[in-house]
Amino acid sequence: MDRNDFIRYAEQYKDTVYRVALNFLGNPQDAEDAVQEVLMRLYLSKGRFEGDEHVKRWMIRVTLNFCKNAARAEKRRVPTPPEELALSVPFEAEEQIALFTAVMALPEKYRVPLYLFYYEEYSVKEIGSLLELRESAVTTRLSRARAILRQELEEAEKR
Amino acid sequence: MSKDIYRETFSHVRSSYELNMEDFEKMKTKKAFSLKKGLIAAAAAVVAAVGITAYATDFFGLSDMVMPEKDPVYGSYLTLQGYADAAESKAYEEYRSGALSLEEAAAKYGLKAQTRCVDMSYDELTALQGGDIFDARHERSGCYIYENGAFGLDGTYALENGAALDYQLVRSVKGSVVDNMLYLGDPAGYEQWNMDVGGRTLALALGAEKALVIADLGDSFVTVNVLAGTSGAAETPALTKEGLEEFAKSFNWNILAKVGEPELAPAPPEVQYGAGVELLPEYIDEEQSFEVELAGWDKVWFISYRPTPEFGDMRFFLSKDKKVSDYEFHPVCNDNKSVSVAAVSFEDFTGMGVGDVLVLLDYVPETGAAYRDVRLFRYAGEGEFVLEPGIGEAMRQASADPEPTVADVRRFCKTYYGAGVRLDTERVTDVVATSFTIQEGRKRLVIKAIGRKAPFDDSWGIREIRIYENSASGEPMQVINVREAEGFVNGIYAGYTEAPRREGTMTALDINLDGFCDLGVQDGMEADAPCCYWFWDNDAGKFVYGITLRNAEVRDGQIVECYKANEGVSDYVYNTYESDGQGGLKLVKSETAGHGDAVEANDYQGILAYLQAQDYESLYLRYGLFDLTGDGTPELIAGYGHYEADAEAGVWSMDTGRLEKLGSFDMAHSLLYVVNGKLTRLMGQMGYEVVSRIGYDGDQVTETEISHRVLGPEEDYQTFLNAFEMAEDGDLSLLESAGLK
Repeated sequence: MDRNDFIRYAEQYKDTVYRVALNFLGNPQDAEDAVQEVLMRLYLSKGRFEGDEHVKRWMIRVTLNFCKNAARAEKRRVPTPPEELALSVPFEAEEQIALFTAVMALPEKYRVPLYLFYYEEYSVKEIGSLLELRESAVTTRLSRARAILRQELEEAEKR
Repeated sequence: MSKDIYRETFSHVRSSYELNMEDFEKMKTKKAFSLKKGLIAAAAAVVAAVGITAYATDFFGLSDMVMPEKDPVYGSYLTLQGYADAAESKAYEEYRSGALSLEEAAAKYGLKAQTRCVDMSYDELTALQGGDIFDARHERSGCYIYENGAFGLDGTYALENGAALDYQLVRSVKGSVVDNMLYLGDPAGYEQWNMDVGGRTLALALGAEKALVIADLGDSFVTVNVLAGTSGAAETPALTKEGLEEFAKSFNWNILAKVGEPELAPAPPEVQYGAGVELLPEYIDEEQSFEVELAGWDKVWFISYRPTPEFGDMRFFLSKDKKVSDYEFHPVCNDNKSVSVAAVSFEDFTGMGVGDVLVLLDYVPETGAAYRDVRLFRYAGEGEFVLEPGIGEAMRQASADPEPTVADVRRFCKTYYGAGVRLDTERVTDVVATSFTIQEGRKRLVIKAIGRKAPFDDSWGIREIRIYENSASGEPMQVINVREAEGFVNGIYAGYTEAPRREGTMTALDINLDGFCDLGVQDGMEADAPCCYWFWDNDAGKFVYGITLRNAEVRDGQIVECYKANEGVSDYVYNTYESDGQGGLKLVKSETAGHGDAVEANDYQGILAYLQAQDYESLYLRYGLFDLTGDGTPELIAGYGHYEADAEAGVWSMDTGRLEKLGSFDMAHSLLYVVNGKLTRLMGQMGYEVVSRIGYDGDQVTETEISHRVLGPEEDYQTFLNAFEMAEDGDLSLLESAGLK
């Protein structure tokens, strides 16, 4: 890959990779490992990409593969408790801390579709393709994630 | 939660990685696998042993503890229960073989199985042992401990040279068996020696990736697995013999030798939920329990049940005899709080025409102010009550009263749910969920779906459809009650459907392929939720309930229905319907198949053709046959990818007589081998090598790491004797040889 293109894509999408990996693995160190690994693969990639969206989607796909492997590794780090994870992020409002903590407390299978849907704004069909799930499974996971989050945030308010 | 808030929140989550081009350019010069077109590597070699050294047999060392039967993939292992020929190790080996449970294996050898362990703080451990088990250079973290005093902990020790050593310590107690063991790799790769510390003989072993300190302490056995070796790593410098000896001396072995049994609190009984729970009189709050008439139940006891040792909050049941529960209201456990019931009411709060159940609970937490919780269970039909999750919060936002009464809830709900009216009349909050105009023959019909939005959710439900001729005024020519549909399930409320969007509550399409537009009503949140269809009967001039399908679409003059066979499995049901020529549908084909792409193929050759037709790079299209499931018939292992970095391999099986995809695994920078009869993946990239085993656990494809290492400057990636035979794009010879073409 052309050096300038690589630098541009790396800066543009490293946070995307980090967020996908953090949602998958629940541990910031593992997520940083994912960033390093995916950027290296991008650097060494000999393929021709058809634009920025193609690169981004490719990087997300490679990140997900890396995360699946990392999740199976014997020496995988333990996911960081959501409250502790929230301390490491410079949020600007209590509401953001509460939401982040609630999201990171969800099972991983809900967090990743939620991120791809709400943040990256992929359609259900696109998410199904990235995660190798049927669209109905993506819809179900999004729906259940919202229901759990709603309950959690309401309970958190009471506390 | 809105999308904006989510995005705003996660925009703060960022990587701290700083791009340094020098690192990339430097790493590019390191070796990496590259697949040469037309060549699959196969070299005569053996698994490289990392390190050197005699495997000593004439002193207390690994030879006394390594189990004689190696694991076929992972190699040698220690049971951590003691010597290899001890009863504890033999019992553990039988358990590990899968033939016996831990309890059965232990009993066979006259031992006790330890299965229950609890967390213990370091101070508690110190008190139990009668002193510190190690010196001040260790981090003082807690442990997990079994009933007989066997325990384990993860620790960190600061060497005098400043390096931090991570380790895992396991102390087993003779006469018992716990589920714990340690893979060793190749014992020949360790340098071993004995060392005397405070009158105790320790066995030390130093390898490239790890080190061990082992002690026989009489009634117990201690193994310390040090997560560092002579090769070192980025965060941990190389461990030397002197470092390992310093580490070994840092433990108080005489303190460790003492076996004390902790006093564990009795295991809490499992909580039973729902129907069939025995209701003990001492927990029934008689003042807040009532015999009532409830919809779906007739006369029944409403029981307020006080917190028990196993469930730290009030629970609410319905019971016919006050002895055993027949139904439990959704349990909510706010632990560590004192709780009491302030009031119970059985009025119609939600305006559905039947009684709901309201409970007001007073909580006094250990810290913080006391508060009252409003818990409203609305009647959802068929004897079910559903907790309305947001009513308390909604009331708090509407009013500052910290102790709402039943009257307050009644007043609030009148506004929130609309005026309480009977089911068969228009409700204040019901709206036209969606509407459209269709042409049926010479009639122009205006269709309106009447329903409402769920109060705390983005979902919508409708209860009836009104059909008007020409314009939506006056009396409708037909009113459809959605409950008429076969298999109707209550949605957001009893008698209402449920759909994720307002517009999605009702659709119009020709589902019976007779040329007339029909109506479909979604009855569930999932995309493959049931959709109930009313066919237009042109002779009768009205809609008639026809069929309920799931995730159906018109495809080439047929209706194809596709939905998941059961939760948690990968099978899908595919039903194909055609018009029966009489305004209905007839089922012409029904099959169950694996994930999506199985629809495109029925056998291995079909899958290869399917992959070939996709936009994959030919170099990565190759396949082999391997019996991954162990049933004697081979699975198809087919690789595909666009680039080296996104190469994958899918696994397909015909074990059940039909094609099914079992899963996939990463194939970037990888070669496949067969090692000890197991499919093994060797990944090598930029001087980093990982060996892993590909397996199948009965539910999905698995990948388990066996080893990893960073190559030294003169080292090359290892190779194995038996390359996994794979044929390239277009070559069907392997399928032919196996009789699968």
